[in-house]
Amino acid sequence: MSIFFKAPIDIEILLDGEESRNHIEVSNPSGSNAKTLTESMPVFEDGETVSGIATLRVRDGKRVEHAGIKVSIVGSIDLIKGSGGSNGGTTTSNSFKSVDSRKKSVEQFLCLTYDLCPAGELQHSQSFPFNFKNLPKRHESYKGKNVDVSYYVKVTLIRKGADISKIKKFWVNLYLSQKEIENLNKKPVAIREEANKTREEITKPNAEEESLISNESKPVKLDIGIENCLHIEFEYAKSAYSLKDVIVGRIYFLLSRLKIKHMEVSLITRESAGVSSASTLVDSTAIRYEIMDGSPVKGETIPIRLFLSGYELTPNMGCNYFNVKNYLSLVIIDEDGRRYFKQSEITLYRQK
Amino acid sequence: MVESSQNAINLIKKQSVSISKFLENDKLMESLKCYSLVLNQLRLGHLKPKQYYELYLAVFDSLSILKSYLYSNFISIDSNANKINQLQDLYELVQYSGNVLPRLYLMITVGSVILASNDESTPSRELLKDMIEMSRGIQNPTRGLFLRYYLSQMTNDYFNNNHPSTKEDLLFDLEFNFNNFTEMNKLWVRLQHQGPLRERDLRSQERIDLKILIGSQLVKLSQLIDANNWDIYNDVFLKNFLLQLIQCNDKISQEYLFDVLFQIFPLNFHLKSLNSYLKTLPDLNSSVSIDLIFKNLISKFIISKDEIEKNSLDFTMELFNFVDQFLSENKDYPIENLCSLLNSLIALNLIYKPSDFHIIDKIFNILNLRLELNPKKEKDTHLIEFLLCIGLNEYIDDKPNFYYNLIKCCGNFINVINILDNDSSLKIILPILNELCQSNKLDNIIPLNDSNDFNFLRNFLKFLNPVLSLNDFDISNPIIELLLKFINQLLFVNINIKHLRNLKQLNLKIEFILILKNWFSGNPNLIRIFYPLLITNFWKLIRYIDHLKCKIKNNENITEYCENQLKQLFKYISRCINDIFNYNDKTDIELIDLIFKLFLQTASISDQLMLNEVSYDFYSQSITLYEEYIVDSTPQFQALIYLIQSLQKTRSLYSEENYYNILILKCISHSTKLLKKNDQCRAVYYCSHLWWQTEISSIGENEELTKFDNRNGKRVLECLQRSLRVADSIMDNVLSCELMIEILNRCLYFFIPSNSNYDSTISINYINGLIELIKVNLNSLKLQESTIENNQFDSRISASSPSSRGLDIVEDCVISVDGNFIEYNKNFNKNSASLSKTNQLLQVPLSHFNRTCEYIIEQRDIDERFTMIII
Repeated sequence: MSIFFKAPIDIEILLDGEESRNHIEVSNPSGSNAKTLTESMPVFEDGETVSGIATLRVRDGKRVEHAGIKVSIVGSIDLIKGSGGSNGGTTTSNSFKSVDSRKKSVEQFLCLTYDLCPAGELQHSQSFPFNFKNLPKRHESYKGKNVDVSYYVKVTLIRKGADISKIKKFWVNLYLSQKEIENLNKKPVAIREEANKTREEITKPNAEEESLISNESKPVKLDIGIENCLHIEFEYAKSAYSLKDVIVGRIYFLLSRLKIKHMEVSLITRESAGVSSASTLVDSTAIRYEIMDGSPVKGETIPIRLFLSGYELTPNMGCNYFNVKNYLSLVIIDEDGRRYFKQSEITLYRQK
Repeated sequence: MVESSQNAINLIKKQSVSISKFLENDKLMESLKCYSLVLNQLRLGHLKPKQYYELYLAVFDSLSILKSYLYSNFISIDSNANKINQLQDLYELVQYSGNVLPRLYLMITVGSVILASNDESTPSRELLKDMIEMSRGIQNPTRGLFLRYYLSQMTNDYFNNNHPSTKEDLLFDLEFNFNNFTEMNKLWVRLQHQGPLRERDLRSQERIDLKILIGSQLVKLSQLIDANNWDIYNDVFLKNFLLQLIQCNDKISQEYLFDVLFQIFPLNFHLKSLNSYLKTLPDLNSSVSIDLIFKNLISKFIISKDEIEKNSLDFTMELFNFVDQFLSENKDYPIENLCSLLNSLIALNLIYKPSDFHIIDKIFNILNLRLELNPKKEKDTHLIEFLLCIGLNEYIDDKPNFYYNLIKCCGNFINVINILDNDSSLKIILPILNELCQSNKLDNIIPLNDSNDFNFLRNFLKFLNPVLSLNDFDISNPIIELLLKFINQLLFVNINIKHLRNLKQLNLKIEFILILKNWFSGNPNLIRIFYPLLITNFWKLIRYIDHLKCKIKNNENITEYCENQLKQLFKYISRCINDIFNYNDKTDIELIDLIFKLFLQTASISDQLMLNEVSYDFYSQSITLYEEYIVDSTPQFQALIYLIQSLQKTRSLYSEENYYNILILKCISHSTKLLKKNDQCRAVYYCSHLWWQTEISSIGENEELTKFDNRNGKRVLECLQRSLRVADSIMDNVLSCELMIEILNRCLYFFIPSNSNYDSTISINYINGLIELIKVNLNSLKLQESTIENNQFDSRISASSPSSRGLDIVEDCVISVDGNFIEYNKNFNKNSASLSKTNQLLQVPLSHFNRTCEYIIEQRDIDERFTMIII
């Protein structure tokens, strides 16, 4: 769409029941050319029918010849240009267009198209209903630093010259079924040991990883410490949480020789974009939550309770091109400003 | 720091204004944002407790705006569940606060409003549990303490308005508050270990400033436990409380919390749980002043004296046993604290068992045992302080009586005094003695009527043992002064005829004096000061026995007994006098004088009892003493006069051995050997009386009726003549003249009764001759005076030794009994050698003679014979 040429036709896409549907405010990246900071989109679920009316208005009663009008529904994974995913990106078609100009689509996992109207001439404004019935949506919508998952409906008027098209973005939230949730909680959580242990990294005093022992409703427990300095045991009630859940846990100080100023729990969302060998990691701290003020002595137990529902969180997701993981990070800051931390992965999911 | 806290308070106040405005317009969310700012001020570090407290108060005021808003908008309108749900949502909402301290303050504020809803569906317990559990997030001591104090304040209404109906409810309430208390205590203790080591004292001070916070939580606990519910107190609360106290192992905490515990819970709890307390004490931190805690406990018992039933006094014994046990296990317990412990015990016993000195004795035994471990003489100021204060206890209303009983019953107290070094023990003895002497009831306290009472005496003397080791003191030493006063009173009360009713008592009294005698014998100074006192009391007893003997004449046993006792008593006296003599400086004229008089007095008494052997013995001892130790002329003269006076009154010495003659011959012999002629002259004319008995009306003699065996006019005249010869031989003619006038007076004295049965060799002629002689001498004196202005003898006169006794004042001159002239004027100290006093000196014999003449003229009216005396 060029601002210099006035398109001879206006396309408007209205989704059925759009007004009454839940909307989500999505912030536009600062570098994008969007007019507003945020963009409001209707929210759809997996398997929900996406239907609506595309109205094409002809300007000034001019006739517009066309080679057909088609409607597509697209689900696309977009990676930032030049990112690790570009290898895969270039091999796929250039025609895959990203909605974010800085990013390009690396995979269109969903692309359904059908004709609304055969080739002909539009003499006056005309509306075409469209309907993608019980549309399966494989991925959750996502807007990240280096990667987006976006859905849109696209109506294209095919012309000899340049096609005229209009897209209508919508947002998809995927909800886990009860069964899936149960499975999730049974799944052992892998506690990834960081390869490069810095001084501040809290190392495990013993190899035992209780959390790996799979058991239903088994809480996440971890026994960690720095020799002769700090020894704590922490425990989260579970490893998988819905986005409206409450994280409940406790920290038990077995030994504390640090002069602790305060302790906080933060929830870190890690976006990993690109294929695994050259992925770009971006961490963002979604929640920062102080749980303790002052320095405890041996034997103290500090409770953790963190309500998640008030925060904008991203559930865990992943595919070939990227994944999003969530970590709970326990950070201890001593009086000299040194930080000691320990991350453990948790799964966030969306639940109805 | 003050500045920053002041800034913070200003900010809080400013924000509070905005909050009020937002809430007026129901803009709750905006107000919460302000609160976030307000509450963040409480996160300021390094504030002094006082500053933080001011900050806390500002925050408290600010939060109360929210509280009352929530209350009036969600609770008081009508208790509808929907509103409560909104509050519960708010409770969740405030938890999104990223910082833990503001989050908790808001939670507690909202929570307290929910608790106030009084709705049955309100999950109060869960809420309480949640608030207290979440408060663990504050581990900083000061901030944590204040947060938990806030929790305590905010839940106060709930616990006051919802009295537990079941035991389970009560246990929950207790657990909640106890939990908060425990955590507060832990934080409080932790505060001690913050910051650098050198600031330890500062930390201690800060903690003391904050103690009220934790104290108030303990008070809250006490309000939950009903005064009748000792079981809960003991089984639930106290068990945990003591456990926590031991675990925290902190001096300040243990001392303070025990004190609060004693104050806030009812007395009967303490009585019943005493054993638990006492068991805990040894487990406390070693730096804890057990004595302080003990003192506080006992203060509680003392204050509540009226509440304690008299039949439940076993606790005093329990406390005693504890101290006993504790100290026997802690032999190096500081003496200062030990004294404090004992002091508390004593106070307790004085209150509850004021008449039981047995236990006080036991208390001192503890001290005694402790001091014996260390054989060297103790000089600990705390110990002395403690001993000094015993009698100062405000609960003793009769101090002398207290000390009396203390000394009588507490042998261990006395042992302690004797273990102290001398100075210290005297320091303690003095006020006690003073107190005993102050008493106006002294005689009520001290009648020793049976041998048990001797315990007091023996203990008292043992108590005074340190006095025995005093050196170089005299009667003006305050202790001696008091002791003298006391012993005097003691003797006065006991050696009193009124109290002597039978022979048994008599024996007791003798024993009593002998005990004193034995004790005084330990120090020569004491012997000198106190033996005369004892001797006079022996005299009293002697008189009494004699009286008894005369009264019961027909019982031979008693008579024999009395005679033996008398003999014995005289032996004691002799022993006493000899001790005074032997243990003291024999060149001390006053001492010798004293002994001399004691001998004479005793001799005189024995004479009155017709014990001639005894009397003779004492007279002979006195004469021996005279011969050996009285060497100066003046005392010699004095002594002889005394001897003559004493002998003149004797009645028993005329038996076959003729002791009297032996003694008076000695007496005359010594009189004639006096160095000064004037002394000699006077002594000799005094000796004349030894042949002229006079009536002693107390034994029924009468001058008119009695036939006196010993009146020998011839001997009298011999003496007077001899005396006159001596007077005549004196070169100083003024003195000589005066002496002659004195002899004239003697002659007149013996002249008067010579009209009766007795031979009088003092004839009118003799008197007339003497008068003539005197007149001649006087005339020659006048002549001398008119021709010679400056007579050389007056310088001699003014240099003679003065004595103040028996002065005849003649204008500016006096004449003393020893016959010396003493100048008597205001310029006494000036050199008087050059003054012309002859005229005045002459006046002495002249006026004396004139008075004598006047007397003779007066006597002419009564006795014709006087008309024959020519003047």
